[in-house]
Amino acid sequence: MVWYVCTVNQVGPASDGTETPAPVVYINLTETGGAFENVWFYAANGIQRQLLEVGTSAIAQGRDVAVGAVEPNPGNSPYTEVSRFYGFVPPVVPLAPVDFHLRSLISAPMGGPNQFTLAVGWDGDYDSEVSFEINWKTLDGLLTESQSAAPNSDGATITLNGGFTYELSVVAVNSVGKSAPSNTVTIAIPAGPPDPPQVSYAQLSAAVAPLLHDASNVGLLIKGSKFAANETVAVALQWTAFGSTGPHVLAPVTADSSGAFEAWFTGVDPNINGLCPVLVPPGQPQPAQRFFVCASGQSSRQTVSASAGPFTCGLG
Amino acid sequence: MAWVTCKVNEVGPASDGTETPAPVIYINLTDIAGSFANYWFFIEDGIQNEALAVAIAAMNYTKKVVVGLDPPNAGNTPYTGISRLYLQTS
Repeated sequence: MVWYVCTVNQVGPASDGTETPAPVVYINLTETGGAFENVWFYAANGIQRQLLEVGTSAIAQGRDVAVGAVEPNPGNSPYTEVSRFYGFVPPVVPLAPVDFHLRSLISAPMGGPNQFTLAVGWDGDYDSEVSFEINWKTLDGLLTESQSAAPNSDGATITLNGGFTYELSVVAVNSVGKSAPSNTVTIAIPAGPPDPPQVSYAQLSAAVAPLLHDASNVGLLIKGSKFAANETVAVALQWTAFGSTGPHVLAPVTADSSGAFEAWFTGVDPNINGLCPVLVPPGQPQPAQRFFVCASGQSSRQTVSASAGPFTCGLG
Repeated sequence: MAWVTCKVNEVGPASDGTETPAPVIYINLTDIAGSFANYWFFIEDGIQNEALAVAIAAMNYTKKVVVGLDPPNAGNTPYTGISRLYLQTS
């Protein structure tokens, strides 16, 4: 038996065929590598109906087939037998990763004073990837960089310099090539402190919670602690629903004497005081919402982050 | 039996297959969770034609299949059997 990749030209039954018990099924093939053209074969006994089904589908879809057959005779007479006949999907680039999002941002403990470690994550089906590639650039386009991640991974950490706003995305890579890019996320990273604290104590959390003044709707409750007493804290967040939006900069908050603060994010639509509902086209379901919050103490120069979600309006 | 969601890479009959009475149908799958890629299985006896139809539809319409199978052997030999094969809508 020899293996060929072929285009199916014709396939069908013949009541007057003699090569096998009925039904005799003949198939006309052209080998894509040029070994033969418009050559007839017959389906081996026992697989006539199945070869017919795969063959008709290949013609309908314009797809090639993998064929295990006896090498055709000179002059194509007598016909030889096809014993294996597989429809196949030709290899293509992988599907783009989805739900690319930020996980955490911390001052790089071993990096320079202006370096931050950003953790990112993504989802997607396994697509025979050999790697992933995280790409980022500054908004001015002057800096473009990338970093590889292992196949089957769903996240990575990268090191970024402070003082820039970055756009990031990820692509999947297989033996054929690269996927389309995932969704893009944007993050503004503050300039790092000239003398970073030896140990960062500040903490930040974020969670979707009922609004204090309207329990029928929800907002994002952001809580910080262990900042410097009474210091001003800048808070910004990335909000992802249909697409990534932001950074949304909240009004500066002042930590109390213990270094703690609370802040609310209730969306950006002035007509809706809360996160629900997200305005969607008619008939579309409510999207999953994700949040990535970054807080920077103006005197302590501590920057910490937190993430929340996915949260979907109406699902609790 | 294990349940796995897969992409169908190849499917078709083999007159020289031995795992079941004719027709022997072989199918090549990739687990979308990444536990195996491009592994061959055979369709258990009694559902060959139906599984072939489902697998062809999956390829033609770029759909996934939910598969009940005996976990593949190391090195993908010998092939293991598939006893359930469901076309998935998304």
